[in-house]
Amino acid sequence: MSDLLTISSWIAGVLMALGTLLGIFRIARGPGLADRIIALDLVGTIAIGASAIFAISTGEPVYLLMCVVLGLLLFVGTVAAGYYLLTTKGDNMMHDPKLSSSPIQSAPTPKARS
Amino acid sequence: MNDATLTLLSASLLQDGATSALLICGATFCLLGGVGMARMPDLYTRIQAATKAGTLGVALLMLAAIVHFATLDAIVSGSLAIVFLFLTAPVAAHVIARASHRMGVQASRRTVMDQLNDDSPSLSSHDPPQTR
Repeated sequence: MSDLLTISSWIAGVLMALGTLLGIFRIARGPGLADRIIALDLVGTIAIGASAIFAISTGEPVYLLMCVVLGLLLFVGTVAAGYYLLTTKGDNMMHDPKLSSSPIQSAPTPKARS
Repeated sequence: MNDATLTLLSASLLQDGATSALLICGATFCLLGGVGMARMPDLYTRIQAATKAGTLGVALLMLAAIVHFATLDAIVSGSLAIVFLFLTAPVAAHVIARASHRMGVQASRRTVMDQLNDDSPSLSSHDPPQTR
């Protein structure tokens, strides 16, 4: 592995660590449950990219299979969380006091739309 | 240094340069996804930032791995990961956005229109309400 690849792998790792920190900030302070789910999805996506960088820096192409498996698990987890959101009745965790003076009123009560 | 080793050296340098450029670009897009996640005003715009920027960044990183290894194994698994990510990330974002809109998550104050919400006042304040 050349010097160029070492330096660029370090730079890419630092940038992705900063992105992960911003995602973790949104997980900690997201006003609703859906914000946390989306932020967790972003952190998992960045983890897939981090395993690609790990495959390059170790020189082992086996770690690329780990990216495929991580993508599968991330998709199933996000869709399961979205289905949980869809079937949960109470909206107590979705209240965001900062946006409550919005001119767009809260969405109507869930109608049966296809 | 004869001609063959020079060609080999320049090809290796080209490969490393392309890998480095793809790595930096992909990591920058991942960082932009994180910045959008932290700075966007409401849930729906955060979904845009996470899905589009994060997916493009990871696809560029996978391309970097494919260019670096350039074996059949790496090409197959890397492009499989890219295709799978591009197929599943919009589906997951759509599921989350639809579920949270049905649960009544409010959009930002600067939102212009909301086509899923029939009696949205921002539509009726500018135009007569659309009849469907």
